[in-house]
Amino acid sequence: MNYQKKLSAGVIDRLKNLISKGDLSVIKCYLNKNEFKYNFENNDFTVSEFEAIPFDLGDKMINTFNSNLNQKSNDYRKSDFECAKLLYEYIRISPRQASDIDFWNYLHHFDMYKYIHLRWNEIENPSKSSQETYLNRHWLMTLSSQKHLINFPLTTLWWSIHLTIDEDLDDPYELSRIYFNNNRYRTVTFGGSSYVRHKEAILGILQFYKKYNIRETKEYGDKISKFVNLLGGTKPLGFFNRDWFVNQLEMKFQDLCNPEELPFSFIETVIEKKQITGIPEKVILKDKIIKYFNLTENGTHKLTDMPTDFSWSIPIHQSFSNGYLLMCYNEEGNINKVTLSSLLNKSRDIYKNGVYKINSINNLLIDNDENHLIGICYSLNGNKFFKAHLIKQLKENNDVVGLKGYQTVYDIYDKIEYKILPFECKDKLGPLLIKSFPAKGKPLKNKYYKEQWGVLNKYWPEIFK
Amino acid sequence: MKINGYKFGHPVFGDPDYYDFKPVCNIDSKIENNYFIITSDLINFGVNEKIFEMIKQKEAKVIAEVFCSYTMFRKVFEQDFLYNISIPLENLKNKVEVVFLIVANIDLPNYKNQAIKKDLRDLEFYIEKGEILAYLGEYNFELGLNGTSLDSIIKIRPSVCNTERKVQYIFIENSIIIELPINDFNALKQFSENPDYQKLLISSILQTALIHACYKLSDNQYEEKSWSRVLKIHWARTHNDSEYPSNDEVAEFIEELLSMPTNLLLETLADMDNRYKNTEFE
Repeated sequence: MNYQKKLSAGVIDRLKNLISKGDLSVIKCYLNKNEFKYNFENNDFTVSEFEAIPFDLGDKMINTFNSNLNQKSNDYRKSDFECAKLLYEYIRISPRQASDIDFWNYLHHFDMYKYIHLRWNEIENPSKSSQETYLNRHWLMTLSSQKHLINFPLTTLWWSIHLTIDEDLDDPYELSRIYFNNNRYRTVTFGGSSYVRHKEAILGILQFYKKYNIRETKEYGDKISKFVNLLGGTKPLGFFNRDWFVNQLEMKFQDLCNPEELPFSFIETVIEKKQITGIPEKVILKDKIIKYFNLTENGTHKLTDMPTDFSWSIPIHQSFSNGYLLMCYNEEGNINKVTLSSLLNKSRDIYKNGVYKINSINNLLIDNDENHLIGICYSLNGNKFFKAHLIKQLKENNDVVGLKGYQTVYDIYDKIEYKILPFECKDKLGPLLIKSFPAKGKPLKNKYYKEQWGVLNKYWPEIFK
Repeated sequence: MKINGYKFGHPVFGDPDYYDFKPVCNIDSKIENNYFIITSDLINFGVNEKIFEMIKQKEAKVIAEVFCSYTMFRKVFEQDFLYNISIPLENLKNKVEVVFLIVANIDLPNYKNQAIKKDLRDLEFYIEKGEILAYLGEYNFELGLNGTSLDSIIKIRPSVCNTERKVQYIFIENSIIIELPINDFNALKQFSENPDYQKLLISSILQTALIHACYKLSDNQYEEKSWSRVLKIHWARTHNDSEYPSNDEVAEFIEELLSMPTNLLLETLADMDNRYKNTEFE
């Protein structure tokens, strides 16, 4: 096998020292853009443990660069991306090998010397640094930690593909292309963060860009990166897969998402009776109504086949016959849970005492899944508070209709509202989902829960008006 | 509390804010068949039965998060009740950092733990999936070093082109190079055969080189050099609070590292002087 040549340890440090001492003969070598004509010694070279790269890879890079360069705008993004692909495809080495600065330094001074001059072409008059710094940053790599790997000319190309390639996609470079659409993403925003090493994290971020067709601006990148860093401040990010990252970003950056694409399956399936009309807002078509539960304010209740003029007349659909009724009161957040099967089994024509003592009914909610949540929003002097409990925490009290049930609010309030929320809210509501009934709700004005309010707004927008 | 960049408002086993004791698992490492292997004993949770039960019930997970900045490696390894992790060496270079943790495997809306400090026992915490419940320690493993002895990082060699009688200390290679003019180098070779002179050389040549080197430890450009890494390892053995000695600490550090070379110098000189004055007894 023909092993790849590389520089010996210390050679680059020596060149760097000479440049820092103002050795013009060395600097002059770098000003020759066609060839690096420095008098290396024989022992300045050694070999890598992998096969030599194709002898014409440098020329291929130059051709690829030129054919993809947008000459008018001096836009390097496409040419960088295409060159990076080429480099990665021809240099298939392990991460440890790709972190060998002596190998890359060899390419800087030999195979890729002309390409680097072509792409980074300010050596005579660097616009942002001294000539010495310019040389150090483009040809003289002395360290191999992340910030150096993502900043030097060849390593930034190779590693940026390595970090973002997804072999499971039809086009494995699809997400890499997004990554290359903003140079800053590669070298600062994402490339400079430690989470970029967790492939699922960076692929999740890029997936988010792709899914919502987000522009690769500095502003969005900085915001997203800051947020992911915050997540990493409390959790080991390596524990999570890309779906989790996409999900977190969807919750946080709803303004960047197309709302129609968010998963609101619950809204399509919920059946509830919201007002006295007894007509559910949404029903599943062809789901037969088997009975109506009717209730007056004085507690008289009965089942009928047709809606009545009782204060409450709620249809019970076939699909909910094994579900439950939540009798939500205006007072103390009291909620009494009764199984619908027990109601449907009642044989008498009419019953009394269906409302607890001096309480008054706020809402009657019907559902068939105990994994759902009951959202409670109460307000005092115009300030709204919200919390949610798991419905399965509410036990049936022998299915007696007129009981108080559970007291869920211990604060004083002017007004209260209830809404059944889907199971998928459970994880997203975070600290707003509370086990303890006496616990207070969180003020809707509290920006600490901004993320959760964003989620809630999708399921219960009315309380934010 | 804060662990390696993580901040928590809930009890984390292993943190003295919440517990009076730490879990023990005796982490070990080795290199075998081109794999870097991290192992441990069974984790001893002490009185914290809750965590143990949670792991059994899959409500919690034993994990290790492994980082290597030099190969951009970052991966979480999920384990059971002990660690046995194998990572191909081709994915690692120079240094591997590992944080050993137990994390929630599901959301825990009402997390309580009777093993925590008395004042906090009755509090409930909302723990999200992935949040840390226990901290088992963090370790740094150095790779690719030919030992940590001073012999492995200091070389004395002749200079071919140095015509002046001048010693040069070179730090750009993996070893600290003490370069002497060829004649001086040959003389040194002869001197070093004398046991007394060997002791003198430690204080006069090695001590100087190491002090120079220590002042360069804060310079990032040397951070991957073997000599820099080895000196930092020696420093870390007795100092956990900093990565390398400050300027004020250098002299004392080198005195310890070379086993009191100044004392050795004075003792040797006294001994030689004594022998010189009492030649009649020999």
